Amino acid sequence: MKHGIAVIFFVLFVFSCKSKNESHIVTINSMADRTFEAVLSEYQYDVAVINYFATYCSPCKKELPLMEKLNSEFKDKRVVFLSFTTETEAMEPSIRGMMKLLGVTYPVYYNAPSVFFNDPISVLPVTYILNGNNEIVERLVGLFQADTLKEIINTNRKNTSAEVSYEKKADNMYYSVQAVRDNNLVLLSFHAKKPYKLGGEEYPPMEITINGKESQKFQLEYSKDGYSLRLQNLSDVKELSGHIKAFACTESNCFIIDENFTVSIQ
Amino acid sequence: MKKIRHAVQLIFAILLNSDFFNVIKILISGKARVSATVMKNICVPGLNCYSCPSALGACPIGALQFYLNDVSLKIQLKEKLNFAGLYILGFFGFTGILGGRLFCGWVCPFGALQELINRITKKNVTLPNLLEKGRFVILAVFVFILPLFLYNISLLSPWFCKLICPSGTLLAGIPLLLIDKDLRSSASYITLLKFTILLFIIISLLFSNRFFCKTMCPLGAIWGIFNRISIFNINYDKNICISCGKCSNKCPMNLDVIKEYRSSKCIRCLECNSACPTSSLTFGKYKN
Repeated sequence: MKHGIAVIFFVLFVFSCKSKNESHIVTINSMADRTFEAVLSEYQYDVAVINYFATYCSPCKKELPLMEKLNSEFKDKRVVFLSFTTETEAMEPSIRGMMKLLGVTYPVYYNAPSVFFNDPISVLPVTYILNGNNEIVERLVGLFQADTLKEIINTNRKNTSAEVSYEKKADNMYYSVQAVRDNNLVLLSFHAKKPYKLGGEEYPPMEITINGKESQKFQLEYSKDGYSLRLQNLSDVKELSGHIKAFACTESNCFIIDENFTVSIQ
Repeated sequence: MKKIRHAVQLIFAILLNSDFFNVIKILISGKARVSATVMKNICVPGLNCYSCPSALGACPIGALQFYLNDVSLKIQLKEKLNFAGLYILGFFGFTGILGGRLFCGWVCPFGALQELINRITKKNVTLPNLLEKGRFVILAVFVFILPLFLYNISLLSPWFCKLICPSGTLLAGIPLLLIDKDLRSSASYITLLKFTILLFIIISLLFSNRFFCKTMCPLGAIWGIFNRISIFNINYDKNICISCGKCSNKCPMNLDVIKEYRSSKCIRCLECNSACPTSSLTFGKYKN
């Protein structure tokens, strides 16, 4: 008997000696009396993945690392991952410990209401997928399949990114334009500014119109130096002006460029 | 005595499961929900599932497993243990020292249900001793060892509740599954396993009274340890006993009462006391 107890304590000791990841950071917040709208307004997203868990729920503990994996996969793609629990302050240390062990880094909220946007939580885990307008587009009950969730996120991302934002940013926020004289040719080139990409690849190519006696439309081909165009018969011109029509895209969003430009020839 | 006991069992079954407000709420919303009053922090003396829609308190065996889960987690994280949870052990000690398995016979709603099912056949086969030791194995493995020593956070679970407990299946699983369609869609092989166990126990109950108490109940196993020493206990006066054997015939736990009246198997239902023609068996303060 004594040996048995000694062995149990030894096993416990050996298990407790596993090294910890000290650099782990997770934000654990209290919902307090805030509404979901208030909490969600702190994030900018096209898709929000909201997951309900509890410290006592073992399928949840299998699901949280999947959430984390998808979180890192969709980082900076306007997809936000959040986990909520109805458990209170008293469970905060356990929640923190659990997240540490599971390697969760995205924000976690406790003290959450047991009703999510009029939907009472009765099963754990449950995962809601919201679009940018905070409408529930999908609800996954029980342990989700990572592939299914990924597919849902991607479909909703495409839907939202199709509604391209028309907001006008400050001039030349997306690109820079340059015109260089080379004998009787003028080399006009457009370079995207980080983090934007101009047309090409999966986006439609850009269109340039140069003002002159005869307005001419050019479609520019992409090269690694940006977009460039060789123009002839411009020996007496000091300045080029025209119109640019293009998409400037980040990895998650596109903006339309539809504006006039003027550039002096160097 | 039997009638009084059944009345007490009924009163406790209602008392411990009297959050009817929650039941109405569940029925209206069609969503599973556990009663959430202050009473939930209190252990009740019986295998009365925490998740039963109308349950006011917490099942001490469930609470113990969750506490051990927490201890395991805290050790893994090298954090300070939560000693407040030790009150659960205190609860077992206090109730055990008071009456041993008295609560099995008089309070536990699942015990009462088992007696009710057994009434169909009224058969009571004596089970092999080895099978009756099963409750200690279940207590050790599913209540203590697995919840405490499985060193993987996703495996930290109240394993007895999760895989075995027929009280949970019957009092919480079935009603909640009937009401909540989300819950039905998330049912897994574990649900099937638990239903099989429940069915097995129900069939066994037709042959042997309190089959679950005899062979599987971890709560009874803990209280049983106190049977020999509890303050309120069964006393036996050898001098006036006529060895008529009426007590053993009546015993739902198939005990040879005059030899095993303080056995860990005895649920203190006191059937033997009322059957005894000479009052050689009495229940009261412990006498040597």
